[in-house]
Amino acid sequence: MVTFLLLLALLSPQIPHESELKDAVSAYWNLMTKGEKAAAMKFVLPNCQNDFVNRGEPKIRTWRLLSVKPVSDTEAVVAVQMEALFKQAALSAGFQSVEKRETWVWDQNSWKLKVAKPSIDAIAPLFSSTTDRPLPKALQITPSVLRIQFFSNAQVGRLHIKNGLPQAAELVSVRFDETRFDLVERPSLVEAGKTADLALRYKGTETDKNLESQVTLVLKQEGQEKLYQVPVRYNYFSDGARALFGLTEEQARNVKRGDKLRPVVKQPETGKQTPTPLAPPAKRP
Amino acid sequence: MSKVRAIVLFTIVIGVAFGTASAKDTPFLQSDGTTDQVALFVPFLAFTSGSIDSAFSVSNILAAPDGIFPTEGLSRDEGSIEIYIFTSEGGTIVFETEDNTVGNGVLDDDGELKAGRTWTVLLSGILEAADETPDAGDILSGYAWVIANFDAAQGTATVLFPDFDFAQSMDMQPTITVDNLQGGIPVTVP
Repeated sequence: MVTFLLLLALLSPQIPHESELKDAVSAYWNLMTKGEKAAAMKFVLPNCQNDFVNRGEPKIRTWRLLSVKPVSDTEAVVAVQMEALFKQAALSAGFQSVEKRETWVWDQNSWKLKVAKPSIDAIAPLFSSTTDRPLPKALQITPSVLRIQFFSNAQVGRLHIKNGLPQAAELVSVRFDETRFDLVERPSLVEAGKTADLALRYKGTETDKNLESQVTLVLKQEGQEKLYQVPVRYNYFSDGARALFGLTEEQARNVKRGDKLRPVVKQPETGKQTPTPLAPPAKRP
Repeated sequence: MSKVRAIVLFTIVIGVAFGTASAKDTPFLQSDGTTDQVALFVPFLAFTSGSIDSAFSVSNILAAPDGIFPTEGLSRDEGSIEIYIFTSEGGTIVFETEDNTVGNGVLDDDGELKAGRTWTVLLSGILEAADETPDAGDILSGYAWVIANFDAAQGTATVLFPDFDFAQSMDMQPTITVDNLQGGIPVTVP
């Protein structure tokens, strides 16, 4: 058992200058706990100092080191647990115990904190993970019905050609009603593991709703051609839109492009209730 | 005052106003039942390329424990989500989930959200899918209605200002309240 633990210790990655890292982390967090941000700046990478100054800080009460994980010889992720009072949080919530992970970099013979500037790109993966999602192992076109919204200014509908197979797919041909639609985006090749968009724009002037057409694609993969037909519904006016704007089918049919519609959500019954009377206070014996 | 700063201030005011209403459990509208579609109101949203975005979450809350929702009158436990954005300038932008390409990947291949799931999406993703992304530097702001094509929904809207190290989250209205056990305003198709 002892031999195993010794081997494990020898095999687990080591960080050069680990004691210096722990000293730097300790000095940095002690200063931050005292609110001495200006003094703490000496532990921040020079090219991150402006972002560090601009970063809002919570009021920190206590902190403790949780872990140090090496990323490379010159980079480590340090996790600390801190008790802090956050701006924008309800005061009644009080100090919160949170874990914070930050990257430290060995720079000019000392460890420095790398400050990540908040950005939309950094936040986006929290809400949208489309780029990371593996595609199904097939050549697939979505949606199953291409809808072009009546209300849309752009009048564009997009088909997504998803190639989850290991070979690239060639878009050989696209056929559609050219009197009504323009092709505004057309890929020639869909690489393996990638998605490419094909976009159609409705250029007509019809005002009838939920009209139907079709787009036909021929895709070629490993010498084999395959035909895909996708129904197109243009001047699309959903039941949801009729509900929101309070329109019957006939009224919806008469809506013209550019008409200003107001949401007329059905006013539900309010179900007025008489408040339960409060019981009189009990008399003291 | 710059337009961006004005939007930041407006977001704070809107957030405080709706936050106060939520805190008081004030129902936005009340009804006794639900229908196939429910509507949720998004008080404010904003976008400018690279520096302001808005994040939405829409939950299909029909996987609730027994006793939360009525046992009768529910007819549709999954469906697509439609978003109607009304811009400050009076324009309308429409988006409906049709497949699983926009957002966090929890929709099915027909763009429907199953009971118990939460769809999250950035406004930038909706604008891109609808081919309505404003030109660089232009600011899009306004309000929106969300139509959930199932019996009960809840949602949040968070306006993100990374340059200001600031975000403001708002509940979509109405929220579930103690005396109003429903998700969204029931709407009927005329």
